[in-house]
Amino acid sequence: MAELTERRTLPTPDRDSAPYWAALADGVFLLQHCLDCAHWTWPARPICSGCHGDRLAWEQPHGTGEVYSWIITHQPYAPDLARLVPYTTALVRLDEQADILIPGRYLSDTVDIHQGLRVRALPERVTDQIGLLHWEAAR
Amino acid sequence: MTMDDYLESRWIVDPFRKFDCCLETDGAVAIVLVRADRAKDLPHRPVLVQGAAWGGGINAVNNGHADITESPAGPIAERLYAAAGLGPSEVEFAELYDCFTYNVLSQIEGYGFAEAGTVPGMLADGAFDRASGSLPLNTHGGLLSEGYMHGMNHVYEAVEQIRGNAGHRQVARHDVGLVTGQLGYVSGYSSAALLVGA
Repeated sequence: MAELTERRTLPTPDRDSAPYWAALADGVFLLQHCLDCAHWTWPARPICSGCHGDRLAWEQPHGTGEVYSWIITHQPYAPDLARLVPYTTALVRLDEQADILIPGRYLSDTVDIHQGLRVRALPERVTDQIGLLHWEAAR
Repeated sequence: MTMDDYLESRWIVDPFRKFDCCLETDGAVAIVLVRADRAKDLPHRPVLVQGAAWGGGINAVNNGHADITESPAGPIAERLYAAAGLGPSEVEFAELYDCFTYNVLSQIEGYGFAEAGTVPGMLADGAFDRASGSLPLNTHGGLLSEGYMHGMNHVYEAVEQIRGNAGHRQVARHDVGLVTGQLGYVSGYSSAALLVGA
């Protein structure tokens, strides 16, 4: 998608989150999973949100969830986003864990967004190191 | 501003329109703190920091909280009232951090002034009006209508109210005021103080 390859408004990977963004660039949605208590952690951080241990592994969740809420952005907050507005951002509750709510652009034009809508992760490569997470209606 | 003015204003991020967002403002507020025994000798009515609370609370980024309608003010309120030895029924007016309209509704619940879901009806009934409400709110217009001073103008306004210096904005009962900071959706960090006239 040209709109994405030309964009300059990008996340800034850091020590903790670099594997997350790099995996999305490769088309894979990964989350930190605790080797001790099996809790999932998002956003990326050095310790587990559940037990505060530091034995975290990057693993692939099912990548499905349901829409908890959403907003529609009309204001172009950066020049490269101007052509995207208005766009819908979904807040998705991941199937694996109720307190993981991940925002991402909702890309299904033909399915009206609503609370409880089943969606799946749609990674989008932007650079070699950075991909973005979008959501689309699950088929 | 009329309801039509509001409904005709442009969307920023649905569900927030232009008038749901605060003003961008340059300015400054200075706060002078001295010991209470010294404040007695100063020319103005002393305003005591009766209690304060701050710290991490609820946020939506995997902090063990799965309901984003639960007010982040709740945990702060509990500690604030304990620190001050006061409760929500003793608060006479409140200056609530209002970078967006929704924060106000959430704090009215979180600081114990209303049951969850009842705030819109109370607003419509004038419960928070400056002139006649049981709990006047954001008597200076707040960040939404006076200016975004990171909430410091809330502290200034509370001091003016407690001293009886607020002019046409003066509320009838003005001895105990609540001032609050950023609600904490993003960082999970919030703060508040109860100010009481000596």
